[in-house]
This record gives sequence, structure tokens and C-alpha cells, in this order.
Amino acid sequence: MTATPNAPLLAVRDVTVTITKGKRQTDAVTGIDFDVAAGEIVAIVGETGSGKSLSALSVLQLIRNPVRLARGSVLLEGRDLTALKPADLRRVRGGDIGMIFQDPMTALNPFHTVGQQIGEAMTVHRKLSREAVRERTLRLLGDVGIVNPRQRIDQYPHELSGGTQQRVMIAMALANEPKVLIADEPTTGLDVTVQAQILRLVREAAVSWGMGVLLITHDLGVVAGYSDRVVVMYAGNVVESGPTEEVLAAPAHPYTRALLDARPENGRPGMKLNAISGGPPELFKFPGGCRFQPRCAVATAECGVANPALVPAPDASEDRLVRCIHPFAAPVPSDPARKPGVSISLPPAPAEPGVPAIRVEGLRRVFAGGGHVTKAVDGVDLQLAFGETLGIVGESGCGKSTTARILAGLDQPSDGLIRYADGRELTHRRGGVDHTFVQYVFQDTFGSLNPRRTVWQIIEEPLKRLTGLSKAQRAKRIREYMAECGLMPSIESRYPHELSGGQRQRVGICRALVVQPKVVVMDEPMSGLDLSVQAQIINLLQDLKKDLGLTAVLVSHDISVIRHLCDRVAVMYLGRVVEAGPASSLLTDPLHPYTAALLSAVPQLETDERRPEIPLRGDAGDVDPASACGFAPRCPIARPDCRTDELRLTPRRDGLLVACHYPGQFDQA
Amino acid sequence: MAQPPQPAGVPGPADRIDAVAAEVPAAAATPAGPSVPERRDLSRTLMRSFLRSKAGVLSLVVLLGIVVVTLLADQVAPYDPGQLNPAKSLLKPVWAGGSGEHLLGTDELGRDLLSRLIFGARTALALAFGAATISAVVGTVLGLVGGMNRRWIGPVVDWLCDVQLAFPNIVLALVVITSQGNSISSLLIVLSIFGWVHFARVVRSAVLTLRQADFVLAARGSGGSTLSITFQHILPNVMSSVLVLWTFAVATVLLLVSGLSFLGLGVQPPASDWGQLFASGRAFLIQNPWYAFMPAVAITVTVLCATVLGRTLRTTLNPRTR
Repeated sequence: MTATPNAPLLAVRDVTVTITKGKRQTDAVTGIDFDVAAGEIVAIVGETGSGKSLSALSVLQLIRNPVRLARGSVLLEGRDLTALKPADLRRVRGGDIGMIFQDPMTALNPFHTVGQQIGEAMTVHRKLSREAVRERTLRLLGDVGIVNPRQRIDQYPHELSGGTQQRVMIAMALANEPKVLIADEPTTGLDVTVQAQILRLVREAAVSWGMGVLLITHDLGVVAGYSDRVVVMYAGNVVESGPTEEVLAAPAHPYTRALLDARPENGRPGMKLNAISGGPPELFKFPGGCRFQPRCAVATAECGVANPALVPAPDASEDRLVRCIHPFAAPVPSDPARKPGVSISLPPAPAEPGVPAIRVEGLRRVFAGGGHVTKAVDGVDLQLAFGETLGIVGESGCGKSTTARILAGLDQPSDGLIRYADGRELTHRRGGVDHTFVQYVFQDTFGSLNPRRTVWQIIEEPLKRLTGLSKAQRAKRIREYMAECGLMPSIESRYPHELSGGQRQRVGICRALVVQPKVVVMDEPMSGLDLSVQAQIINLLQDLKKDLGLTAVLVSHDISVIRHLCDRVAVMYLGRVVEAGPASSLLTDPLHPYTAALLSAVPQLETDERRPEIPLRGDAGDVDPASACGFAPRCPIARPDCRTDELRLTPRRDGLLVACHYPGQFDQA
Repeated sequence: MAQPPQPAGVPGPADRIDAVAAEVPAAAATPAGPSVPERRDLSRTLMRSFLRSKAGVLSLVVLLGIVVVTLLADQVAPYDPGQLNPAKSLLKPVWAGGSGEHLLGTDELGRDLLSRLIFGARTALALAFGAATISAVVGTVLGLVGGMNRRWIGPVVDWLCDVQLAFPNIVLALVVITSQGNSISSLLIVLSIFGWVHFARVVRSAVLTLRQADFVLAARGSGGSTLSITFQHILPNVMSSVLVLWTFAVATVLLLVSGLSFLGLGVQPPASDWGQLFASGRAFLIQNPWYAFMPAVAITVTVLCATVLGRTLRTTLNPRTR
């Protein structure tokens, strides 16, 4: 932990940001205070609407009407940025303070090459010759871990992978050697292996350049692994702040405690998570009193009276602050009292127990367009037994979502055969999937619900089309399944935009289940949700598994979710399954180097759980189409024969199927 | 730190969870038999939302007024629009020094302007609403089909759009009118051909985005056919754009007709429409500026009302803004 020097590099004092909408006005951020010292990484963590991004933007004075800085000051080395003239402020932005945004694709200008953009960032603040700019840019690109800067410098953003784009963004932010770096969710859209590289880079830059970093994130694992101090925000308030290790080891605020408890890593597989009830409040709808009180497990009547002040936490080190009148309250063992959705009469179980629900043989899916061919899925064999939950893990672009869509009959394979237990078959010629046998749950809760239809109409549609139920029977079925999915009858006639993210995903799940499919395919069903809501959906899936004996395929990039919910796991890389087997052995003691790298890259809270990092080169965009093993170009233990010798899934110990010539030997790397 | 004992009777969070939990099974356990949910009464919701917009209500009233007056032209108009009276040519309106006999004054042949406006509305409105609606229907259907079927209908629709946009409108009007004769129906055809392409383009590009939406895929997974998806999921989501375009089309057609009339391709005298009245009034701007001004006012008011009405309907029909 870095020692805090006397005068902080960046000091944010009592910053309050208001948003005006029509005649209404609300404080989106209320009186936040925090310091960032040189060489220190301070994380701001919070859910949607917590005001964490607004806080960061207000540091740079980058907020516009109808958002306004109502009061407060931002001191950079003692200079108040809120009092600066626009011209001086511009010198600070990009000069003294650098910024990295969440989405590098939109933050980079598609019409300029990498070199032009970084060069512009440099020459805005000082005069440099063209050769000097190019030379510095090349060095910078090397510094941020770009493998071949001489080639990349003349490329356009669309030619780079997401990870490389984010590296370019970081290079731009670092171009003028800023004193403070603000990183707003810098790795949210990236894969875990790339995330680990990017965050390590930021940490190294902070330490070696003595740069203060403000890291905004929603991921507690990132907070634990990469920050010195943490500021926890909820509904526009700082609820707790202090040294990261102390806060995570003994959270003072019930919200921090609940967030930690709600993480899927925390529960044992098959057990319920301690989800927080409800969802984070929306702007203009902040509750009176303590803002967390309606969802708080330890709230008492006093909590509703007034919003408590941010005060030093009792019995803790002096720089810990908390906004709660019951700090360190022991959590009441929450028992989400949900009764199963009464008497759902399920159709009889499948006749032959030996037959797999779905059998996939040699599945391929090729997208051709614009003169080149993309192999999204390149020869996948899978089996799904009745009653089991199969997890498919992998980084973006590995073909896991395409596989899921094809399994659910929403896309056609280019080659291969999928045999369903009801006797139907899906090939590139025949699209004969019975949608009452297999149903699909979407990732995007907004896009998958028609904005012009009510919840009732949405859930009723598959019943109308796929079953011959009468109107009254349909109504009965919808009521049962809405209750089963934890949806109040009061939302029947609401439209999707009137629901919270968690409710929308429940509607999506309900729509899939209402026709009583034998198999449900779910594509990242909780990746768009806030952490506290995610736990509710995970619990719901757990309940559904138990109540309905669900057979499911769960696609996710989040290994902790997979670990919590799945019986068997398949790991995909570049359109192929590289390892498959029982979740228990695969996720603790994998044989394939890619699985091992994936597991080691997941940020963990507890230090003793952290695995030795297995560094990967580059990211999934580095493809060598001639290589027999698609992973060889990035593999730490690859040998020359990996690229030439043919490879297939081979059974190894513990029921694991592995496609690797040197399984389990990565610790020698 | 121990939690302070909860005062009895104060609803703590534990009670709240129970209340929530209790509500779910209770609702499911209600004799869930044949009762179909009480939907929000859609027509009432729409009505309430529409009535909230004063401008929208006013536009509707004015438009209805114009339509009623037009339908009852024979009863309402003070004179026969074709009745000549050379002695009273180019009279000014009553407020500009004219007589009370002719409220809006007379034209160069002494015909009553008010009567000519009222009768002219028949052709003007029939052409404007007729052509706009035909364009909207044809364009929307072609845009929908073209957007949904990318195999061959789509390219054909694209190609038709390009040809239509490249072809000079006036030449087209000349071709149709000289071959079909100058009549209201041939004008309607010409004006509809002018208009459909705008609908088709907007609808097609909206469909191309919408068909990628997950809810369309979800509908397919729910057993929906392409036809039902097109009409139940895609069409409702493009209707707001179509409505706005339609109001623009009404305005454009009214103006186009006057343009065609100016070239002698429009409505032929002695029949009249607003555009043609306006065109003939331009010759007498010095002697009697009101002659050209009144049809212009009629056109402006109608166009304005149609536009405001369209915007209000768009807000009303969208659940998000209703």
C-alpha cells in the first residue's frame, strides 16, 4: 500500500451534481469527497445510477446541461479546477489529467490512423516535430504492450481488436504523461484475459510514473486486485470509503457487505446466493432517509428518518468513512422466502433416460460476406443429458453465442448435425426445430422484448403460436409461470421500458419457460444486470432447476456464474471446444492451458484464492489459420508441433475431454 | 455490533420481504381460472393521452371543420363557384373595404372567392389526403416486403426507388397526363407515384434495423412466421415514422398540385383547387393581394394542422411517450 503524502494529488471536495428534467431537479451525486495520491489507484465502485461515472466526469468538468455541478471543488495539486477559465481547463484535460473511456470503438475516431490520433493528443499541448511525434508514439505503443507498433501505428481503429483499441486509448491518455488518469470502466467490454493485461498495465504505469489513477468499475474483483483504496457509491452517495483490503475484509456499510455476499463466488455451487432484494433506485426516485434503507437487511425505523452523514467508522483505521447508523451490523441471514410457483403440472418426463436431450456432431457455422469467410463455429461436438446444466465458456468471438442460437433453432448450421431427443434433426438443409422442445433466453433484456407490447402479450405470444391452449388455459399458465419467475401480477399490462433490468430478464425467462420446453438455452442471461440483481436471477435459475427439473445450456463469459450453476462445462476457443467435462474438476484443475489461463485471469477477492497468473500473448484476434491448434499462437507452452499435428478432443483424467498435445503441463511454462 | 431490537409494530424490512413473498403465491393461487387479465383499457389510454395535447386536439377540430365544410359545400357556399359577374370583379374582402355580399371578395371574373375556396377544398383535400394515403400504403408495403425479403424483392424495390428518384417528376407528370387525359384520377396517380418512394425508403431502412432486433428472433423462437412477425412486430414499430411522413406528404401534395396547376397540368378551370386559385391570384397581387393570400392561408392552415396532428399521434401511439 502506498503511503499517503501530505497534500493529495487530486482532492474532490463536496462535489454535488444536479440533473434537471423539466421542472424536476435531483442530486445525482450528493456531496462526494475523496482524495487520490500520486502512485495510488482509487477505485469508485457502484451500480447503475450510483453516480460513479458522473463523479469522474465532474473531475474534468466534462458535464453539460441538463447536468450541472451545483457545488463543490476539485483540487489538482491545490488548484481548483472548478474556478478555471475554459482555456486553462483545456490545458488540464489531456495534459495533467488523462481519461480512458469504456468503449474504445466509439472513443477512437474511425477516420484517423492510430498514429494520427496519438500524435494529435501530443501536439495539442506542445510543439513537436513530426519525427519526434512518430518516435514517441512508437515508444508509447510499445509501452502499452502492443506487440508490433510499427505495423499498428498506420492502421485504423476498425483493424484492431477490442483489447488493442483499449491499449491505443491508454497510449493516448498517457501521451502527455498526465499526473492523474481517470479510467471509466476501462475493461468492461473486454475478455478476462485481456482485462488482466490492461489493468496490470495501468497499475504499472501508476507505480512507475507516480501517477494517480481513478478507476471506475462495477466489478469487486477488479477493485480487490488493482486498487489501493476504494470508494463505494450508492444512489449518488458515497456510502463507504477506505483502504481496499480493510473495506473488503470487514465492510462497514450493509450495502458493501451485501454486495460482497451476493457474488456467485461466495456461494457453494447449488446453494442460494444472498441476493439483495429489489433493484437500485432510479434518478428522481431516491428514497427518503438512508438511500439504501428500503433494500437493507439491517434497517430499522430510524434509518427512514434522515440520510446519515459520512463519518469515520468506529473501531477502524482512521481513513475509513461510512454512511450508516448501524455500521458493521451483522447481516441477518437472509432467507429469500420464495415459495415455488404453486402447482405447475409438468408434462411427463422423457421416456428413455439414456437418450441425450441434444446431441451435436461436427457443428460448423460460417459467415461469408465482403469477400472473406469467418468461421464462427468450426467443428463442435457436444452432448446434453436430461436434467443437467451445461455451461459454455469462452472469450468474445469464440462462437459460444452462435452455438447457442443454433442449438435453439434460431440459426442454421453450415454443416453438421444436431439431433434432439424428440426425434427432430437440424442440418444445413432442414430447419426442423420444435420450439416447444427447446427455448432461448436472450442477453439483451431491452432488445429482446418488443417495446410496443405489454408483458402479458409478450409472454402469451409463444403460447398462442405453439400450443393449442384456450384463452383461459393460457391465462392460467401465464399466471403460474409469472409467479414462478417472481413477477408480480401488477406488471402484466406494463411495457418493457416501465420495468427494471431484473424484471425484464425475468420476463424473458418466463417467455421461454411458459411453453414448458424440455431444454432452455440461455445466452449470458445476467451479464447486463447489476451485481445485486444478478444474484437474484442466479437464484431464480437455481429455483427453476429445482422446481422444474430444467435441462439447460448456459452461455457465459463469467466463470463464477458457470461454476455456481453448471454441472458440466465446455470451454470454447476460436469456434472449437478445447476442453469439456464435469464443472467440479474442470474449473478447479483444468488440463488445457487456455482454461488455466482463463481461470487465472478472473479477478478474485480473496488473496489465497488467486492462482498464479498464466500470461497470454495478445488477444483472441491473433489468429493463425494454418495452425492445427488455434490456441498455439497465444499459448505459453506451445511447441512447434502444436501448429502442425492434428488435434482432437481426447478423454483424459477425471472425465475431462481435452484438445491439447501437452495437457496439464502449463505449470512448467 | 448487535442489531438494536426492532420495535414491535414497525414494519421492518423483514416484513416487507414477507409481504412481497406473500403477494406472489397469493396472486397465483387466486382461482386463476378463466379470468383473462384486466388489460389497461387501450382506447381510453390512447384517448386520454391524445386529449392531453391541446395543439393536437385543436388541429383535429380544425381539420374536421374543413372536411365538414367541404362535404357540405353545396349547402354552405353562399354562391355558385362558377357564377360570373364581371361588374364585380376583383372585389376586396369585407375587412379590406369590400362589401358584405362577398366576404372574401371576388376574382377577376367576379366569382365569389369564398365559394371557390370551399369548392376548391374538395379537389385539394381529396388529392392531398388521397395521394398521401395511397403513397403511404404502397410505400409502406413495398418497404416492408423489400426490407424483410433480401433475396430478390428487396433489390427490386431498391432499384425501383432509385429509378423513381432519378426520373424527373415533371416529365412523369407530362407522360401520365397526356396519355391518360387531365382528370382528378390521373392527377392522383401522378401524385402517388411522386410520393411512395419516400415511404418505401424510410420503412425499408427501419425494417433492416428492426429485423436484426432480438425481439424479432424471439418471435421466431415463439413460432412466429415471417408474415406474422412482419405485421405484428415490425409494422407497429415503423408506424410512427410512417405517420410523420404522411403528414409531410399531405403538405407536399398540396404544394405540388399548385405547381402542376401553374404549368397547366393541374386541375383545369372552371374546376378549381387551392393551388390553382393561388396560381391565378398571383397575377393580381397589386390590385387585390387577398386573392392569392386566402388560398395560401387555407393551404398553410391545413398543412400545419396535418403536421401537428401527425406529431401528436406519434406521441400517442408510442407506449414510451404516451
